Amino acid sequence: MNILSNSILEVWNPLVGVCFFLLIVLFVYFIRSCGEGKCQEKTEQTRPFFSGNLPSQNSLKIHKVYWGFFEALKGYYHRLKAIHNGIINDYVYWFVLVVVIILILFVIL
Amino acid sequence: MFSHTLALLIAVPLFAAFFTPLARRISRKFMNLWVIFSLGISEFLVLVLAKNVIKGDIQVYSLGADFPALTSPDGFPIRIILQADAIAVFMALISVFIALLVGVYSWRFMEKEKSRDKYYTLLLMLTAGMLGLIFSGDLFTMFIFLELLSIASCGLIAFYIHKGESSEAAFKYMVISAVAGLMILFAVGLLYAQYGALNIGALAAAIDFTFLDITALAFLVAGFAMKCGAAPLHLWVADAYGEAPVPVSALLVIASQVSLYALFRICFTLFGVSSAIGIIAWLLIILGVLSMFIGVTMAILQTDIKRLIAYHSVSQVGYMLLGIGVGLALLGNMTSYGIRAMEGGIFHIINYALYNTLLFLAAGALIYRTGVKDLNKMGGLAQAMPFTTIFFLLGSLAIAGLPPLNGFASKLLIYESVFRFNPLLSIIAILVSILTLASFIKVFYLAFLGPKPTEFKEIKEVPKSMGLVMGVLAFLVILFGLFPNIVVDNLVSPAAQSLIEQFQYISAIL
Amino acid sequence: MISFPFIIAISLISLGFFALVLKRNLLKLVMAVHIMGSGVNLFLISLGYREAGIAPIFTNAPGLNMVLPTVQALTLTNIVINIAIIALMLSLAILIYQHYGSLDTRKRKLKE
Repeated sequence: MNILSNSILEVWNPLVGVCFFLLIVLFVYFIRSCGEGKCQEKTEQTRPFFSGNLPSQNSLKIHKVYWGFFEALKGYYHRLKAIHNGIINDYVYWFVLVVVIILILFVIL
Repeated sequence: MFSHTLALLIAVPLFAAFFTPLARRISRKFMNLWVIFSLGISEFLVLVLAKNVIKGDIQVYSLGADFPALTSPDGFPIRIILQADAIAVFMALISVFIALLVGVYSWRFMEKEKSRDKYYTLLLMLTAGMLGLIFSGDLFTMFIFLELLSIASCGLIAFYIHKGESSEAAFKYMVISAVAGLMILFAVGLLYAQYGALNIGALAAAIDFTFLDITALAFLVAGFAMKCGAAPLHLWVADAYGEAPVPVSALLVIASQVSLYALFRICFTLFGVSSAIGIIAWLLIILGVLSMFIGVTMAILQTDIKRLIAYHSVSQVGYMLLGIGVGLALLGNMTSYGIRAMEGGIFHIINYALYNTLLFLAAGALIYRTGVKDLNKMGGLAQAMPFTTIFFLLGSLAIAGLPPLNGFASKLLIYESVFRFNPLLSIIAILVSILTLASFIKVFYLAFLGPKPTEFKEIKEVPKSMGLVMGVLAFLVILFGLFPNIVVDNLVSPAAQSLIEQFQYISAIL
Repeated sequence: MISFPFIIAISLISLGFFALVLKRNLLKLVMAVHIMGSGVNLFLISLGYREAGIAPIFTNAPGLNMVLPTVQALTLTNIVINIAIIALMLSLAILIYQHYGSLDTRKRKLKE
């Protein structure tokens, strides 16, 4: 039991993570303190700057995020969508299939 | 007084459930207070129970006996027996705690609904079903409470009956619950036919692995795997979690964990060491890996925030199946990393319950204020809802397993021990974690960052009670991440031991 | 061991599975679940049957030749649970028909 009780602390002490987090906070504070002191609130200065056309609210649709990922795994996703077809008959079919597979495994092995 | 704790734990939520419509007659505020009060009482009772049980002694309670400890008058248990060992108390602690938080959250979330009393009745019935399933010591009582849980959840999923989708989701849920439940009952019948007993302890002592026993094991494993949403039996999960009211989705997550507990109880306590269990262990590992991978790859695809979290739930269940499956595969000659894998799996249950509830409730806060579930229509909510943003961020970092949050602590235990069992499985688990993070970066970007749509100008922060619930969960997520060894030593380790030590369980019942 | 009631019970359960996988009408699915439930009930009740057995009342039992009471209790409970499930499913089928105008399982909105 003694080996196990310190099982996590052996590998990783969470307090190291906290120290690291504080270090990052200090670093962020340092970068922030390097900024302009003359910045005024609620003027054009605090607005984000967009070049070119202003982004509309629906400029970034979900299917465009990770487009390359989906393109690379096209065949896999095609099959996956065929499984998740939302028809209740198929849900039961998978149950029957799993039971049959377990029974076949038991008989063979 | 505390000798009847086990019976009271089922009786209190059941009584509270059917008293709730009467409490509604008095006043709405009284009804809300009544629900929270009764769940608080249940939580207190679980804590009282945990104080005795977690040290390692198993508490049994036989219903209708002259005194509660009289389980087997003629050396053979014929009564309905409730039992509480460390893993049962562990599960009860989580489920009642989350039910309590969901009760507080529902106060404001459901305040516009007219039939709140029925909602709370079903909510308490669901809690009673979970507690009954956890504490029941025989297979048939387990089946009854499983059906109570299923029927109550079905009613809750169909709560928004003005939407066709929720009826559809509830119908699907009911079909799979009925099929799984009936097959579990069929398996119970098969076991009863041979040994004339329903009690888990008595069956475990008598079982000799005939072909009928193994058939029963196949039906039980498939039935409970379907109820806990392991791939490829997970297809109902996204429908049910996605269409239920948000607090219910959080509670359904816990209900699936309770089914997972029942699966472990069947594998470890009822069947124990045998060649059939070796096959089942590998099956659980394969189901776990499939759940992790299919769940996370489907989640990246989603546009509905609740369906997305639902697919992540499937993927997280895979981690528990992997951890416990490795423990089960090594059950005959238990090594230190086998125990560690089990501890990781069990520790992941509590962590998953905390951060997944946090994610669902934070998503619920967004839905409460914006009224949309589609991520394409959200945006720029970080300015309007700073606290929800922080809570959601904490939840998503925890689910992705980033240190120093609690998801990392349990995932590290799983990675490390599974690596020593089979390196490939561990690599897949880490890959799934990375994909989880990628998926939540997308959600965070689309929902909280970017320009704010014009129709969201009036958005405010959520009410205080909802914020408080999320705050408690976020606090625990950080706390369990910073001091994992306290939780592992005091809660998780005894729970893992109680699953492994089958003979202790049998001797406590007989 | 294998006798006539068991064969009927197993075939009822198989019939239920057959209908659940192949039939597309929601009402037929409800019927399939009920048939499966009846199959399981029949299986349970025939487990407890004893040739020429009497009702299991211990006070006036002449010998040990009684039918088993436990499975009868199980069957009664399961009948009640099954009724609740069937009623719930039928009411949901009505709601689905109101919203979608169809009872076909392929006419679904939730997928992927």
